[in-house]
Amino acid sequence: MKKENDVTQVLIAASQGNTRASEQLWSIVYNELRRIAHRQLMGERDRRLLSTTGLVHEAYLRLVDDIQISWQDRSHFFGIASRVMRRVIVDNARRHCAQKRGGGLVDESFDEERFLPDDRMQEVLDLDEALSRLTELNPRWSQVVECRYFGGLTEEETAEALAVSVRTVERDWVKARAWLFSHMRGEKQDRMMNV
Amino acid sequence: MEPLISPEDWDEIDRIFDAALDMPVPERAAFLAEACAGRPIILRQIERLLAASDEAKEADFLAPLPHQLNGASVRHFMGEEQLPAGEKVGVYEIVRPIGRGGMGVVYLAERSFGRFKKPVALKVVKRGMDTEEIVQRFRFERQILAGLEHAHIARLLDGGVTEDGLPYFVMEYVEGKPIDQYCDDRKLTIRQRLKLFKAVCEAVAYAHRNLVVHRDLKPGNVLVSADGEVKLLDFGIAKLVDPDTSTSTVPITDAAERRMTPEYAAPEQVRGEATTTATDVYALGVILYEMLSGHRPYRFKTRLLTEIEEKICQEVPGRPSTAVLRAEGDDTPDEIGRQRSLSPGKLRKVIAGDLDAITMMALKKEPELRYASAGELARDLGRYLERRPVRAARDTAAYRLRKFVERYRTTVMVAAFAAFTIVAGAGTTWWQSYEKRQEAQRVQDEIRGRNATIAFMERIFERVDPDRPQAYTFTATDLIESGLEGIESLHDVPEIQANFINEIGRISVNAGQIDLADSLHQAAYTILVQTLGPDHPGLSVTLTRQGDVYEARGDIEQAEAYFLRAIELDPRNSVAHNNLGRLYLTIGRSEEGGEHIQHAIALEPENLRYRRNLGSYYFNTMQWEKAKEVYLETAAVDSFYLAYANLATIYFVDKDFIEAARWYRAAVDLNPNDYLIWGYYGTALYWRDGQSLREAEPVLREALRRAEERISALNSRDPDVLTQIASYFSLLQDHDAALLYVREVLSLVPTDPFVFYDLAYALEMIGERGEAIRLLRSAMENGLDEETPKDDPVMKALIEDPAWRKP
Repeated sequence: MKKENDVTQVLIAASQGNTRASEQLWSIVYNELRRIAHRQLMGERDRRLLSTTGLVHEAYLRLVDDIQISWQDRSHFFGIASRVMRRVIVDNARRHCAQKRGGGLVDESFDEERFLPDDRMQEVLDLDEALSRLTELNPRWSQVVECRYFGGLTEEETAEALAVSVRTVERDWVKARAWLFSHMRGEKQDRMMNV
Repeated sequence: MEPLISPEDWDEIDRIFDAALDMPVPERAAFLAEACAGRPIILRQIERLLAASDEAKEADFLAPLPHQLNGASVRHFMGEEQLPAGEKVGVYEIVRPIGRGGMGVVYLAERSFGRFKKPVALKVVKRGMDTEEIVQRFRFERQILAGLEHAHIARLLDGGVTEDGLPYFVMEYVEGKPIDQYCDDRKLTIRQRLKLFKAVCEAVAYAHRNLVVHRDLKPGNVLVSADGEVKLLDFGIAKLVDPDTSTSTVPITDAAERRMTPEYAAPEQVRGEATTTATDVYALGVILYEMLSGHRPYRFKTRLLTEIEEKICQEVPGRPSTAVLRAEGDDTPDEIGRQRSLSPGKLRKVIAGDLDAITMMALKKEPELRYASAGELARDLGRYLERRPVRAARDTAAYRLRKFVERYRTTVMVAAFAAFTIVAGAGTTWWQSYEKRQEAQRVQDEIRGRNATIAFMERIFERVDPDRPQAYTFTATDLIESGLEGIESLHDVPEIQANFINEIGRISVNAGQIDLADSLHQAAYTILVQTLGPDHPGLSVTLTRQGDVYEARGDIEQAEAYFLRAIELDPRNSVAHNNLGRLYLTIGRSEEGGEHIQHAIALEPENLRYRRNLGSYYFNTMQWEKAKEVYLETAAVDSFYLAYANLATIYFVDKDFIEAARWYRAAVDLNPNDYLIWGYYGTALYWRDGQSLREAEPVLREALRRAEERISALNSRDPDVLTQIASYFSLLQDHDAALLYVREVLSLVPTDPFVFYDLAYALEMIGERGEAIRLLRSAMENGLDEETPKDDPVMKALIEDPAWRKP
């Protein structure tokens, strides 16, 4: 109980703009998600893939005593959790791609489970790169994609997390998707020409 | 390549793109031509984005990642599905939520029977988990529990599906506390706890007989009501087992297999292997461990599965009796003892032995080595409560050793006293006859001894897996325990056995287990007396160790007697000489101490510890030059902060402040905790720099801080420390603070001439010469040597003052 309250305090501080609390929250959430991922994957092997939404929400239920916190704090958690999920999923995909090519070191502590089917892995890696570029141009677009795609949040949840209207989320999603599509296709063509 | 577009352009693109999206497709071209007139780059960008937008939609680009539960609203996951008070679920009315588990929320609910209301516990599966599997599991749980009728198992009453389609079931409502909390709150004794726990085992045994395994036993699932009735909750992940093969006969979902609490999970659960009745025995073992010792067998630093798995599957936990002395947060040995109405030492003794053995047997890594069922465990606890021999202890070596020590305890006492009275002589015959034995026989003896030693060492280290050095840290306690377990194997070579017992005893002293060390040395002594006779030189080492034990306990007289006897039996025992010498030095019998230490050095000239003690002897007897020589010599080979500090003090007395500061610095680097050394260091710097505070100030401030820490650690206003504080303030020229502390010390009525002297010094430093002279006079009236002030420039000024002559 004590542990949960601590996290709640950190979360409240983070949502009030405390940078150190944000960093702390980040690492708490990251570890918790990894732990949940481990547990969910135990014994499952390849039969089932990970539900990212389930992860985000389960992490929330475990960490936060939700009686104590306001709606706003909760939204903030989802925003951060989505970013963490992006990291978790991309890291996982990167390791598997490296492994498949027979190179690179594999993090032994995080076993060989994969989060995604093979055909989605490259998409995730390319998207991660494109999103970093998009963040420079329009941070909100990229946040919307982070929440919806990596965090598995609904439009409503995303709107809460980013403190914008649902309508904005809908529209940003369409625009961001268009930009990413064109950007990623262009990158791919460039790559093919270079080869 | 992206064309160069400024942030302002991007805002523009965003705006126009947005507007275009709102338009019917045929109208877009005209709108864009107008909006982007003269800005071909922006126009091209927007056209590209619009085309990409359609294509992305077509291609289902960024489709949700697999298995996401998109579309479900936040409420489903956030616990908002929690039912409000007054809500009807079947014939039950929700009162309030009382708990939340991995599966869902548990409510206190009521069923009305006319004017009566019956409370029940109502468990609703949370949304997002209402898969077919879980519904099936709930049906399953209902069937099992309906078949379990036991006074100590919470009964299943009903079940169904809520209006929203969520499965629920209804259990007997139990008002109670988790068993560990109940025991601590009521400060139950160990026997009371065991009786309660035995009832838990019997309830689990009943379930086992009905082919039900709980699989998630933990204190939170074992409640005790206010009138002391035990109730087991939540057979939620129970499974039927086949009584013959103990393997699953009913398919259990993966989700259930994985739902466990790491602290109470058995190795086979962590590994995802078949769970059996032995899995429950393991969890019961963890609960018992906790109820006895106040600690869990393992502490997880992280919640990472790798760590949990490694610990649970590989690490052998310390025994509950040793865990008692562990401190974790508020769970200090004293607190744990208090909750059990015993002192920590007493508690350790009560648990050590049979209760250790019972707990450790339940916690065996291999399911087949544990009690076969909870019933077996309950029966062994019954044997313990009736003070009959327990099954668990029968075969373990540690049990035999304990019995061994117990058996010898009385003889040991007698023998120890006898040893001092019997005149030397008879014992040496054995030694001589040994010398005269056939060479062949001796070789054979040696081989036997060596083989036994190797086997014993292997036993000790078998717990350490060389392939996983990082997985296991071998502590002193582990060494003591595994040594004790193996020691009986040396039965045929008593001298070697005794030596090892002595070694384990020595480790025990260092690990703070003085009582254990005491009984071990006594056992070793008895073995040696039986083998060698009562006056053999071979007894000398053991006697020295016993002397150490008494010294550690503060029993100086006994310690002295043991050391003297050790020297008497073997005058060449340098350790005994050294330890006796050190003992004399600490109690102020410096000359005798010096003699014994010189003797030890004569026997073993290279020993640094002996030489350092010699330095202390010279220091204590103010033979500065000799002390300096010895300290410099030892400091060159080894670093020991007191040697440095003493060396510095010698230089200080010589007024070589440069060297003094250098060695004080070295001493505080090695041990920064001693305020006195900081103080001397600061003072040395002050004089070195020509009475300047340039470098001295921060050091003196550190001394002040440490001294104040010391005061609060002592929890009393110690005049010695206060005097030092006064002198630090006087050096720092803080007139008022120094005076305040001087007054406080004086109010404590000291008669110590050195306290008066130091206070006079402090007063002189802050310019209070009148007061200083008065106090120096008090110092002399209380026995201070008249020559002392003459050596110090500051104090010399006082006796040269005209006022000194006039009373």
